[in-house]
Amino acid sequence: MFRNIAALGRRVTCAVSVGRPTGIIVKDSQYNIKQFAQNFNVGNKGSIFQKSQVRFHGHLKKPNPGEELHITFITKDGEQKTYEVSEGDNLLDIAQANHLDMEGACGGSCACSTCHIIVDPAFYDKIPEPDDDENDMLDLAFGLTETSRLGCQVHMTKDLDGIRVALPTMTRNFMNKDMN
Amino acid sequence: MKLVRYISTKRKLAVIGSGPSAFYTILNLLKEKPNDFEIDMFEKNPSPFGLVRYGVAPDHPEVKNCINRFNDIKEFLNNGTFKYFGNTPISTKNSILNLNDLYKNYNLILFAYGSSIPNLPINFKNLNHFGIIDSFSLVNWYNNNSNFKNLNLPFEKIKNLSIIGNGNVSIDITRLLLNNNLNYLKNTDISENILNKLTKSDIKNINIIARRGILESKFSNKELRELLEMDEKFGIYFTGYNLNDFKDQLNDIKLDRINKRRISLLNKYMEKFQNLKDKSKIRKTWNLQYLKDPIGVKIKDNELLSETIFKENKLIKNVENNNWEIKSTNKLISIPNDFLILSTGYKNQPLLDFENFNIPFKNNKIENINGKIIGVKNSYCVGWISNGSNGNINDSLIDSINTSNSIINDLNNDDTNFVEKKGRIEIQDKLLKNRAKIITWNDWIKIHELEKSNGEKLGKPYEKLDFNEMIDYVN
Repeated sequence: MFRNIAALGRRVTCAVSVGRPTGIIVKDSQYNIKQFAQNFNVGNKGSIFQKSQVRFHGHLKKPNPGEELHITFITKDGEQKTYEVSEGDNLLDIAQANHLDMEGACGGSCACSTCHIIVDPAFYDKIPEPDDDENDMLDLAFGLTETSRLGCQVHMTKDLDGIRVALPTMTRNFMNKDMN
Repeated sequence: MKLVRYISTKRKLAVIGSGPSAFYTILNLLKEKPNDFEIDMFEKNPSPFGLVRYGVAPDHPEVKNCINRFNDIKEFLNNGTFKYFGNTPISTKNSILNLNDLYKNYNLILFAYGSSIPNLPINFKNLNHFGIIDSFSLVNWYNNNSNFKNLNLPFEKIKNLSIIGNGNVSIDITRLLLNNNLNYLKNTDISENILNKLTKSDIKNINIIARRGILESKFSNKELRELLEMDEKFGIYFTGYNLNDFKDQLNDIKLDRINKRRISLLNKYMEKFQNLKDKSKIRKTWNLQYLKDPIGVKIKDNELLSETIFKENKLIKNVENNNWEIKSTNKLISIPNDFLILSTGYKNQPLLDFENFNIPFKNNKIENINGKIIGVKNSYCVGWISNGSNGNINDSLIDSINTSNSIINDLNNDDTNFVEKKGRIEIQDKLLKNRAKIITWNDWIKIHELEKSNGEKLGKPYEKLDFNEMIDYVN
């Protein structure tokens, strides 16, 4: 019947279980989503509150006096760093200008997820919703949470004055497949 | 007067490979400890950056922006902290250098040479026909890797093509083969000779076929949406997938974020196509097919196929654990196609002398814990060779953080075992004695300047040179 079949299978692949995660390799499993949530419970009192001047380079401009907006980054070590920035600055640029650990491999063009941040739930809804491009990339972010965003896509507005964001620990240990 | 011999306590590190994982790892190391390393990077090709240059599709320039970061390495050139040895393979058939040279002359070895062969479906391993090609060769070809320039593809004769495997590479190939118009591609870094061949092809339909189900699709939503959205703009339409095979499963389970977005995208565009009134808009089509296990092909002539034969798989709910499982059936089905692309991933290979050094290569990777090779001292791995040909630039970045952390931890805990090694002096000596044509970092900069000026005339970021042209240009 199939005389011309160049190779007919000798082995038929056995049953493959459905629902196995694809595409992401898990290396360890120490990740705990609560660790991130706890970062937000540190509170201002008693925390290391460091006010640094942004080293302005690139396209970050110094905020006009009286128009400064404030942003606090919570680093991987739980340290809080607050900066005065201008309206319109995006969070990747702010982080990089301040030498925080944020890669931005694609140069802020929304083609990777290496500038993944976790936003304080109190501020999350004040940011315009992520578009399709950003959602596509968030799919691939490690340690995705319900308030995850890409730093390159979030721009400072007056509504976001005082926003706090956490930089996720960069380990491969959490499945986006577990998110809804 | 007493002579005090200066002993350098710098760790001499040999890196095999120059892709993103290699660069991210050494940049991490130098960020933490800028004065503690002397790094030599060995790359088999003259040009660096691995898959960023010869893997990422030409119409994805934004993904290649990571090269800007890798170029930060230039800060470490003048003080000798970093040296690039392009055109310098390690432990290959005809290579001058092997692992013995590296272990003798370096304190630390980092294996970062990635995947070097295609991974083929089991029934297609020894199947040779001009109508079949693997995606590893095809991707290297369209990215103008000189080792693949003789690939002769009968594109003009192909109307209907099938791709086995549904990862992002399959989507890349579909996008480039269907949207092969000059305007779309002419300003990318695609080479002129490839552009000429691609624009002559007239493929009308592509079937992307996978063994498993829709929830196990390997492509990312980004790549999927990019291709779906080419419908109205370019006349490239998604015609659908075998939805009926999944209705019960999709009604039964709660979808995760990725699958929820994936399925709503697919269904939206499938419906859009079914409701399309003006069919004259359709220039080309593509579809997804699941639960089909490829077992062989029927051939038409020396160049083309007539069809690919599959065994159908079936989705069945396991009543014991409530999981949906894929079972093989004996039902054969055939999909007509002129040409077949095997796109079931890339594969790693051990270096020729791994056994001499007891380097554990198993399950398509070097066995390691957080980048530290199991059972072998002072040896590390990163990227695809460490995780089995899987992942994108995010994975490379995270992998490299793990590996560089392991190296730094070991360095901090292991100062007593330090032995001074000769490093690059000895290696350079051996290479020169054997008349190797080493490409240095400055050579590469010169080569790439020429590529950029050649590209400028054509309206491209750069026009890639052949490996031989690179070597001739700087020697």
